[in-house]
Formats: sequence, structure tokens, C-alpha cells
Amino acid sequence: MALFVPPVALARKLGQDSLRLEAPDVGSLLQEVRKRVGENDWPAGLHATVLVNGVAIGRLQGMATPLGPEDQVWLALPAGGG
Amino acid sequence: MAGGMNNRLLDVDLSSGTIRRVELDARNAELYLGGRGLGARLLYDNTAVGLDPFAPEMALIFSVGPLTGTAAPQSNRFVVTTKSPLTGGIADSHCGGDFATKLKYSGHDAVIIRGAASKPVYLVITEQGGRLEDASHLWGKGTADAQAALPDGFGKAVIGPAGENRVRYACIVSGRRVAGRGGIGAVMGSKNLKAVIADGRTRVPLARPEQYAELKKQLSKFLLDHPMTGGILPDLGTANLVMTTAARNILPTRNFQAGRDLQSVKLAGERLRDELLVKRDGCLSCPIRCGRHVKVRGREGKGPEFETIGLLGNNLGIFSLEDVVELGQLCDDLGLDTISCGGTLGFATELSERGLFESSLAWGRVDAYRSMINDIARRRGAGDELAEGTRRLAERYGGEEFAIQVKGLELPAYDPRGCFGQGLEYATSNRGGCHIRGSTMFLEATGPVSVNPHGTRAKPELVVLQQNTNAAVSSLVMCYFSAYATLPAAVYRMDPNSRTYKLIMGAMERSAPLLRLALRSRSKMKVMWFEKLLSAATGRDIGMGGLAEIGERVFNLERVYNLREGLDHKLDRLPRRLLDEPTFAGRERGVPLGDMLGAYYRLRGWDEQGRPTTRTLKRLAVDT
Repeated sequence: MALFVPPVALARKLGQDSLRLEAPDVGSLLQEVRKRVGENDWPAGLHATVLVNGVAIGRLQGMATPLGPEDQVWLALPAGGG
Repeated sequence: MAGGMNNRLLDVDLSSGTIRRVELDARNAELYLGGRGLGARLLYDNTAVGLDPFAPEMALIFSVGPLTGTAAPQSNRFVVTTKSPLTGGIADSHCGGDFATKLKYSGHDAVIIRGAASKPVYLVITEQGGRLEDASHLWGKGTADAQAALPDGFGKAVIGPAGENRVRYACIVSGRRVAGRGGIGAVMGSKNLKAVIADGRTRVPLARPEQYAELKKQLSKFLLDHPMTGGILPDLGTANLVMTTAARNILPTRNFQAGRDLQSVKLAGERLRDELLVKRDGCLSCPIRCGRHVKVRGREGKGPEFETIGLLGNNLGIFSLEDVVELGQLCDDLGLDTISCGGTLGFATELSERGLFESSLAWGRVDAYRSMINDIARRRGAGDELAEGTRRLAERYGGEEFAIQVKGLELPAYDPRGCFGQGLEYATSNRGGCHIRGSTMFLEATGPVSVNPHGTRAKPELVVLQQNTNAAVSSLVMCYFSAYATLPAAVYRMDPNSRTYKLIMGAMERSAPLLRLALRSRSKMKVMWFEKLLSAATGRDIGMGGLAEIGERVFNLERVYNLREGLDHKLDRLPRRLLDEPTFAGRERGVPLGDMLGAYYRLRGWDEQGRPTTRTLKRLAVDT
């Protein structure tokens, strides 16, 4: 089961900082997360980069990126400062 | 007389007590503006080759720029320049608060301080000039108490016990803001100078005041409407970076042994906002207010910046925000740079873990770290050794391959193994391992665009562009956070997982030829607020190209200073851990620095040994 670590706003909707999910690929994992949160509760304007082990899925196989038990999926929001 | 400047310097000799006012060289103001550029020029011209940073003859320079004191958004910053006791090269450290405006109002653009007083003193700067006052009663005090004991109404810049004891990464504190990097506070302490305070009523002469006022209004509105400067930064402070850097696997963890920890989420900016924040805080005339005022365990005080969270939290295995807040406040009060302090503590912890250094330090042991921080500032026991910084500790006890420093300056909280351009920026930064000399990571990993973080294409070009821009902006002087608003708001609304986004990022990755053209351009167009404000303030017609050229000139002068002081191309490197130990699955190595450095030198017009060629220096009118 891959580990999913969401941004804080989403973690609060889920009620936990991270969760392990059985999913063959990123698309299925995110679908499962959406189901658990509920479409109505999905944070508005959430444009987060999906990263598998720190690498954006755009550089992997997109939503079809396969997931193994050791993989970590995090979502990154644009950030800045110093 | 050019607008924007007082055209006057204060020249202080602490040994003799002589203070005189001298005219600012008009050519220096034209070529180097103020702030960082002027500081570098004055350091180069006013110090002998090979001088020890703690020698009385060493110059400590406070400088402001043509925008300082004009109440333009983000313009209230001063720069302190000297030779770094950590790196042996140039140190320029920047700070907000209100000191910059008060120094400018005193009728001076810069203060050059040389010599050493025979007993503790503080320097008072007014329109009448400068005078020295006895500071015996302030010596030994923390930065908060020292500021409270100084006369009201002045802008203040003080050192704490760390500076007095010449800790090599001692900082200067002004209000709650800190000129943190490079050990400038130690140089101030070596001069027996506890504080510099300034005030006055001299208003800044502006060449086109009505146009300037309109530009200020427009910029303020623009910054407040922008998703980064009007949304993310005011909302979460710089701590907004915690979750993003953790997600990107670039948040230093246990002395850069990893790029995150599952507990990193406990340090998130959202938690700081929702659980500890009392109110937002900010510098004079800045609409963003990214500072934090927090309440922890019943006590109110300054909240931590992202770097403090990264280096004193994650990097030490501490995952309690409350503890990080308190350690950060302790460093500020003692006058220690939180980045170098956290970096050195992390290195010492790993040394201890490997049995190479005897100490009580262990990951997550807050009490041990608190105690060591106090010992560092007072140079007691093992603290005396940590006060020398990471590089010197490695020279004595080994572990050079995991001593996370560049040119002797400890790295901030972005692991370059997940942002290769940032790695090149660290390696080539004139003041050593520093992120805010270009912030290339914003374009690779943390911001709304992401130019292949694990690629080298277009990185030399991006780094040169960013470094030149940064050098120019910090000579105005403006806060570099304003540069985060240069990417249009529309970019923030894109889906970063979409095909369109991928196509755009691919195009950016292939943009090296265009970027090279941009680097050579001397366009007179005024697109950004930087050149618009500068032109309206000074009356000079400076376009994008002109401003970039000023930045390039400043950067090259700093490089020439470093070469003069013996810092050559062999120091343009990263620690072995960051080159050889991957933190990403499937990668065999870390940052491929060697693939980028040659191209970087060529772009800069430097020879193979990283020396600016005579032609480059002549083109930029850098007198050496």
C-alpha cells in the first residue's frame, strides 16, 4: 500500500496527516482520496503538483504512474519565500 | 546631483574616535547604485588585500539605496558588508525593519566603520553626523534587552553575546529582523561596537516625485492582488514552504541525510498560522507582512521563518513547532544566524553519532540543543568549537564529505539534489552557500513553474539571470520577495499535472538560447517595477537591460574581491554528500555540478578557472 501525504487543508478533511491506500497507480489513489473526502468537501482551487517519491508525475507516467508499497505520494502547492 | 541619494557617507574610525562626513563618489552611485553594490565597491576600495576579518582595519559597511526611505513597498532594507569570518570572502547581509529608513533620514547613504574601540561603544548617527557613546552597560545583553535600553525613536542595529564573542556566524538584529548571514555580527563585535542607531528628518530627494508616488500606489496594489505576495506569503509567512519542500523531498533532514520526514507535517505553515499565530508582522512600508508574531507556552514573541524551521527543526530531528519557535527566539536574542547555527548543530550531531566528536547532541534532543546554543554564543566548552562553524569543525574532526557548507557558509533549507539549478547557484554564490542570491529553486521546485528540477538544461542561463537580477534588486535596495510576483497570477491557476503545463515546462527547459539573448540584451524597456521606480527616483533612464548590467557588474566585482582574497574556482563546489549520495529513487548520484559549471563560466565571460576576463571587466566598467 502506498503512502499518501496531503497538504494540510486536505489532511484536515481526511482527519489524518497521512494514510496508506491500496491503489495500482496514482490516478486510482487520487480517486480513492476524492471519494473519502467527498466532492463537496474537496478544497476549492487546489492546484497541487502530484509527486511520487519527490518526482512530479508529469515526469513519470502521469496518472498511470504505477505505485508500489514503498512509494510515497505527496501533493505540493506553489510556495515561495526565503 | 542624482535623485534618490543623500550623496554622503559617514566615515568612522573607532580606534581614534574620528568621525567625518564625506561625499559619495558619484561614479560609484551611478555604477553600483547603493546597498549591496555600493557595499561591495566600498569594501573593495577601503580594505587591504589579505586583511583578517577581525583586524581593526577591516571595514564594516552599512549601506542603503536609492529607493530606501521613499516608502515604496519592500524598499526598507539595509545591507551590511564586510569580509566574512566564516568564508574569508565577501559577506553582505540584508535586513528589513525600520533602521534603513532612519539611516537614510539621517542624511547618509552609507557608513564605513573601521578601527576598534578600546571599550564597548555604540554609534549614534543623526543629521549632525555621528558620535560614539559608552556601551559598557549594554555589553553582555541579549539583542532584545540591548535594543530596549537604547534611546527611543531611533532605528537600531545591535549584536548579542555571540557577536561580542566573535562567533563566526553571529548576526546583527534590528527590531525583530535579522541581517543573518556571513558572520557580520562577529566583525562588529571585534570592533567593540555593540550597536548602531540612526534617526533624522532628511527626506529623500526624488527626481520625479509625482510619477514615483503613482508607481508606489500601483505596486502596492499589484503586490496585494498577486497570489504569492498578496495571498500565500501574508497568509502563511515563509513557513508556507515547509509542506512543499517536504513534498519535493528537498527539506533538509538530519544534516541532509534525507529530504523529508513524515513528521515534517507537524512543522507546516498552516499549523503555525492556526495554532500559534497572534498577528502578522512586517517591515516598514511593506504591504505583505510575511512576519509572524506568535504565542508559545504563554509567551508572545517572534515566529520562525522557513529557514529557521528547516534548520533548527527538521534538520535537527525536532518536530515540535513550539520548540522550534523557542530555539529561533533564543538564537535571535543571542545574535546567532539560525541557518548557520542549525547547520553546524546538525553537522556536530552527525559527527557525534559517528563517534568523531564528543557531545550530548542527538537528533530531537531539544534540551541538548538549547544548552549548546547558549554555549556557542558564550564560547563555552564544546560550544567554543561549534562557534567556529561547520567547515572549521570538519577540518578538526573530519567528516568533510557531510559538512554541508559552500565556501564555509552553511547551506539553507533547500536540498539541491531536488533542484539542480539551485545547486549551481549555491556553488557559485559569492557569499557562499546561500539561496537568496537568485532563488533558482523557485523556478524549479517550489514555485508555480517547475523547470525540470533534475535536469541541467537551461540551468546555467537561469542561474546567471537570477543572480544578476538579485544583485541589482538588492542594490536598490528592495526585498527579493517582490521578485516572486514577477510570474503572472495566471500561472498559479494552471493545473500542474496537465499536458499543457508539461508542454510549457518543456519549452522553458529548451529556452537556453532565448535566455542567452536576454542576458546580452541592453533593452531600455521598462517592464518591471524595479527599473520604473529606479528611473523615477534618480531621474536616470534605466531600462531592463541597464538594471541587469548593474547586477552583473556587482556580481563580478564581488567575484573579483573573492579572487583577490584567495577564494578561487576550487571553492565553486558542493559537499560530497550532495554530489554523490542520491535522495531520489533510481538516481545514482546527486547534483551533476560538473555538467553545469563550465557553461556557467562561459556565460559569465570568465576563463576556465572562473576568473572574469579583462574584456568582461572592461565591458562592465569594473575597476580593480
